[in-house]
Amino acid sequence: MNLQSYNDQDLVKLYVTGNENGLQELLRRHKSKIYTSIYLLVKDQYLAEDIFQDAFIKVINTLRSGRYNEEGKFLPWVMRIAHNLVIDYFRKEKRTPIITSSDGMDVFNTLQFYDESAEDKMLRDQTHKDLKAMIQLLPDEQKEVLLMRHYADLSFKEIADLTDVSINTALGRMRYALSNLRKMLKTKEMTYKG
Amino acid sequence: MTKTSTSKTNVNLQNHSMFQPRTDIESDAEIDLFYDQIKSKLDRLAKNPQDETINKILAYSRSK
Repeated sequence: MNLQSYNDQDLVKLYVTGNENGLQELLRRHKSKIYTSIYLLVKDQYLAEDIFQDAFIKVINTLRSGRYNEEGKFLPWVMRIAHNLVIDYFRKEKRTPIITSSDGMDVFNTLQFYDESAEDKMLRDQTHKDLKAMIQLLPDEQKEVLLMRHYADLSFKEIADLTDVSINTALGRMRYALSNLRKMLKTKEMTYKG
Repeated sequence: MTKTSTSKTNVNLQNHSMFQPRTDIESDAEIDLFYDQIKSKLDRLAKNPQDETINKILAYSRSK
């Protein structure tokens, strides 16, 4: 059965009626979007893995119990669950998580850029790290919107619903996030040149 | 006679205004262009959970 042509709602129905492949395809389709959003919020790989897993356990329990509202879209719904778990974590801990490692490159990136010069690689690594650090410097509400929009691919309406603000506020936060990143990158470039 | 003065605290607002609302010259087109420029860089920050995590989720699902 080729599930790639199924939409999320069909996959949910398939899963609810007992076909595990429905969940497998939903995970394959959305894991990166959801995991990246969690990871860039909590800044810790192991914690992100735990939250990702807990979010899907809640998803499974809700789907199995028949409490899933079919009018809602699957991805925004999972993002809401993950978002709430992240908030719960910070409330409990009341601290900023420790960054466990610089974690830098994954195997895929290493293979993809294997033939670049050492200097290019250094520059790319630096840009990668800079951008990641700059995202972390954004105010939480701006960072959240940027991650949900770019990585989770949510609409501004979905982001607004999820964060309890108006669409205009969500749009404004995205603009400010980009504007601030732009300023930071400019400052960084000036530092390199200076 | 009433004495007037200007607060010195406003002189260097630029230093801590990084996260203040945009007021100025930056047009939406500029921001859109900037976003287009950094999209691929942002994409490179995307990550996947470990296979082990996915397998645990699937195992939990099968056990329910």
